[in-house]
Amino acid sequence: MESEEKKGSRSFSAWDTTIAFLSLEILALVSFGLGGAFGIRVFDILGFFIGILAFGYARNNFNIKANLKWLVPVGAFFVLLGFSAFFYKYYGGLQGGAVSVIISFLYLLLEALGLVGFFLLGIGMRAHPQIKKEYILYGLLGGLALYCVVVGFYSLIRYGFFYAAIFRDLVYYYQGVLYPVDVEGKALLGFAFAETSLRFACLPAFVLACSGVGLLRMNPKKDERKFFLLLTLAGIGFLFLVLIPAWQQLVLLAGVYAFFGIYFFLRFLGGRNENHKVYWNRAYMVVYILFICVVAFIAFALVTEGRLHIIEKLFTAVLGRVPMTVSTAIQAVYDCVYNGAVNADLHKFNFVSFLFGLNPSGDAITIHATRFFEINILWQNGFLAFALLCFLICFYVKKEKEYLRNANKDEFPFRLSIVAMMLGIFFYQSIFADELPLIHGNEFLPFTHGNIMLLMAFLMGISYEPETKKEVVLSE
Amino acid sequence: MNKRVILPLLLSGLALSACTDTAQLYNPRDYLSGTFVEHCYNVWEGKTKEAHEVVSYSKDLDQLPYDVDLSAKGYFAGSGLTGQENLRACYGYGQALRYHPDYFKNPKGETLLWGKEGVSDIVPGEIGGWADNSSLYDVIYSQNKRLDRRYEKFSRGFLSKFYNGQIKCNGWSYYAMAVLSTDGYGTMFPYELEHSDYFAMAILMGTDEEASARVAVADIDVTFYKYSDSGTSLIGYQVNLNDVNLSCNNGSSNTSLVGFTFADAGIDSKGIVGMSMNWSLVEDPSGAGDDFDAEGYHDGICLYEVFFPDSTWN
Repeated sequence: MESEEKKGSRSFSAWDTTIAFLSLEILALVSFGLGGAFGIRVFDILGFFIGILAFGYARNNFNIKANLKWLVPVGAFFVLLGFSAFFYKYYGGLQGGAVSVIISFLYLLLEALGLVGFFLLGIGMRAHPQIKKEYILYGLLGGLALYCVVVGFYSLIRYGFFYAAIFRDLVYYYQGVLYPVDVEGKALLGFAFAETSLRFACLPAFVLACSGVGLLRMNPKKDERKFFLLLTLAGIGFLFLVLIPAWQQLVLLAGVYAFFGIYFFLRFLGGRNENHKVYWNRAYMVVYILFICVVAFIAFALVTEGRLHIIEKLFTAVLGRVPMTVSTAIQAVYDCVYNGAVNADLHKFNFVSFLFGLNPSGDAITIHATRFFEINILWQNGFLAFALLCFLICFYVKKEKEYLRNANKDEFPFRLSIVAMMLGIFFYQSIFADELPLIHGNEFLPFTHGNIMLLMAFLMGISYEPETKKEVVLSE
Repeated sequence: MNKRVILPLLLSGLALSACTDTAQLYNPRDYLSGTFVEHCYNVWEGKTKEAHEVVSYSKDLDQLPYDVDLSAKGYFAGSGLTGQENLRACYGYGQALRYHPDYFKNPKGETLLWGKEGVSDIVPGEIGGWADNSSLYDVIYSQNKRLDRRYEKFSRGFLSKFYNGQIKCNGWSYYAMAVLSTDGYGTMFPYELEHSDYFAMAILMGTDEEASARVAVADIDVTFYKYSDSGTSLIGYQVNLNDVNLSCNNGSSNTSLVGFTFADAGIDSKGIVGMSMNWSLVEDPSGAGDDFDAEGYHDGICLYEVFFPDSTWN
């Protein structure tokens, strides 16, 4: 009997170890971006199955019924990121017969399954008894760091140190075309290096550098090994940005650190002030006001039917010109609602394209690709996905605060790193999104179908605070 | 080795490494000007200038007769204005096609086109922007023969515009070509030529004289360079193309294919590592001259493309 228990225990442990290994492995490989676009599709399906298995560890502490009201919008958002009219047609659906339809459908299915899987993987790994929480972070950061080291060395060899500053305003010729060198960088796409925009090339390094926020609440004397490990990993990302130097990204990085500085300040005030909720309410208020501004901006674009003359006057008065990114964003919103496709009849409301994304015919991608991933989701995935995104932004502001509040002292720095990376990805893609990043090519690389989006789904899962306490009290 | 030395050495090694992508940088206004003569490109790379002064081999070639005479030796070239075909037909291409039809076939055995109505020689992308031209590889001659298609290093540098398959302005204006004064230019190739049957280039006579389209006549010297046995100096092999007829118009982009076989020139193509080109004006009915420093109107050769078709390089 005793030996059977031992045997059973050993068997269970082996299973745990296998799941733990697979979870960490896939997390690191996706962070590295192994295999490029094709690799991501493979990791989509692997991530889904491993995510399902890993989620099993969360069942005991996870009341699905109580969390369903939150899980449904999250799941629906991921499904809509995969299944959209835009991507269905983009991958060949409705164009080339049954085979194209099946391939297109499979692409969308894999994308949706991958996002759901990585979300569940996040929840599951957090509950896994054998995985130390910091190992999850190191697995994730290790993949990103390896990517940054490989690409960073290649970039140094090809461009040299500080090339964006030294060669500012200089150009090179490639196949007879003139390109400025200070706005491009190197990226590893699949198994080949490619010249991309700096905005695209710096995203992994930026996310890596954001993880250093955890250091702000770590004691280097007490946790020397952990401190220097995280310092090294985050330092690789920071060094990647500095050696270019990517000024805009560094400024945004400072913004992320400043954000957490304000957060610590509010926590500090909250600890001394009995009415500390007032401060949090004010902080929430800022987020909600910003959110309302975005909604108002879109509503304005709709009401004006895409006519830019009022906004043009506004920007001209303040900046002296209308930034191309602004007019592109408004045009994308307008076309999403009224046109349904580029060059279609004006002022004709297209229900399908409004809800599920534009028709990718003609120059739809080059015309509408903006620097704002929220707007890109609107025209690529439709209003339903966009509305869910808006909801999830507000929802996760609250969830992340709970996630940090519920951390014990040891876990807090790592949770900080997790939240900082999420926030970093969100900020970065809200300003620097680039889905047509290739300098010597025109391939479309949507953010929502890339490895960083899978990591975002994972981070959303791992930082999801399940609603279990009320249920426990009721059952008692 | 002292560990403290390793890191600085590594960093120094990186700093001194190729930096391939920043090795050939330019001011965006270099060789680009609204004024014709200021657009001039007259750089002689490496030791090409010195080698050009003392060429060890020189061969004069006249234009091939228009009617096919396979025993004739000469260059193919010229504007249709002086031949039997009209200006837009590119007489030089037509002449080369008559003499060497095998040079102008795609893998399917179909004849490659110089241009095509509604297709042009490049994919109509953004002016001055990169575009995927692979759809024209088996259709258009220049896209099929472009050097950067098979040899990546030809893609880099200012002179990459000579190897990208673009043989007309297509609205790109000065971005598409380089204006050569009589000083000419010299370049070293990123590879060593193993074999090529013939050499060709897409050129026209540019001008700042605004008279109507005309034909200008020029003597063009093309020099190829190989390394000497010691490998320290260059040896020049010059081919003099006498009385080349070129269409001339201040806004024209009707280039001609001008070239010759290495057999006709008496040169073994193996081992060529560089080339240069210079020219002198023989005649322009409008009275424009070839001296860019002189008063009045000027003529200059506009070089769009350099071909070593179907060549192999090491």
